[in-house]
Amino acid sequence: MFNKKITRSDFLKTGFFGILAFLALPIFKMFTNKDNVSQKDAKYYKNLAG
Amino acid sequence: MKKVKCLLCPRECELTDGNRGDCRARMNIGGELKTLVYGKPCAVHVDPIEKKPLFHYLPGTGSFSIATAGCNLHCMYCQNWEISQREPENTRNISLSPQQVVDEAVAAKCRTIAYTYSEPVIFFEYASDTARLAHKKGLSNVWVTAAYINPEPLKEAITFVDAANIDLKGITDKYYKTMSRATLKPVLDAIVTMKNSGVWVELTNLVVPTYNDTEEDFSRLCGWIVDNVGKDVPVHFSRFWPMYQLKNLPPTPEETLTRARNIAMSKGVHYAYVGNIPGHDGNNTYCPVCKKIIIGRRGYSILEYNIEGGKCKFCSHPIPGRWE
Repeated sequence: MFNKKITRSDFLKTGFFGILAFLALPIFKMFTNKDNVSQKDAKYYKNLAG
Repeated sequence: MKKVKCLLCPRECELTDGNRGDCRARMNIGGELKTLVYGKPCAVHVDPIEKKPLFHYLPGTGSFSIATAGCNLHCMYCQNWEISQREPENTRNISLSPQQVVDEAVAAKCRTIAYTYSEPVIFFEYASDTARLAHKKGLSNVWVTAAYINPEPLKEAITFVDAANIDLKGITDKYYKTMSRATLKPVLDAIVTMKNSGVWVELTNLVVPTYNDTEEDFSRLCGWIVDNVGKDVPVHFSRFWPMYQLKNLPPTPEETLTRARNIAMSKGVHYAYVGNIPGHDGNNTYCPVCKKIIIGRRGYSILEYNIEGGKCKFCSHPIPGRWE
């Protein structure tokens, strides 16, 4: 298996799916459930005393 | 142009139309005093209640903690100045109604809601509405406050505040004026009123090198505590960290805090703690009678717990606080 030659089409196919996955990540993030939204959004002041 | 006077705190700011108070969170709008921070917290976190610090109130539980922008004090060392010394339009806020705060606290399995980080006095209306709803759901309300408040609103506050950690910053008027642009007497009065009204009170003294760290400072402070609110009120001596306008000072040396704790105990304070130094002996609660560790802590974590039915497990001495 290590001797298998990578063809041009294999290379392009892998690259295409890789880029697709990279672009899809933020889109999936948009649809994740934000039930803890308040705690998440308050992250800007997270090292407060008291 | 109609002037209004804010009677919430001893500053009693007189505001012309369009002006806001010294706290930056209350404003005269068309002749009416309005709060600018109702339902707009800028910090929302679930903290261990030990972080407030409250060591004798539901230890080991989570406290749903909220704050809005603004403060009626302007301490040179403020550890949270990024929110306390800013107008609400200059912080990142979220919309969270009192009902939502309570719902989120219940969902996070918290036993208390803490009004903390900045100063609950200046978001009084928001804190009050939230607290009343919290009581209906069986939650307790905790104020972490400098207690710079007028007697009338304080009388109202004690109807919904169950526990408070009050900052007793120093014991001289000069210190309050220099450090916080405030006065000492209203704070002392508020501490006594809260204690006498059945609110569980713990006190914090932030020890700032060269400002309030002499033997005389500690002796006077502890003397006042023992004489006015008793030996059973826990006192936390907390380490200062260079911040805001006092970045030129070093952090409080550990020895100074140890000395403060020793002086407190020699004056008769039963529960004196050292804060902001994890692993210090002063993180633990010791039984004042048998001297054994009844709650072992490292920072905010509980390592051992030897209280049964509100009493020391070893000698049955009653330990003041709310334990269950």
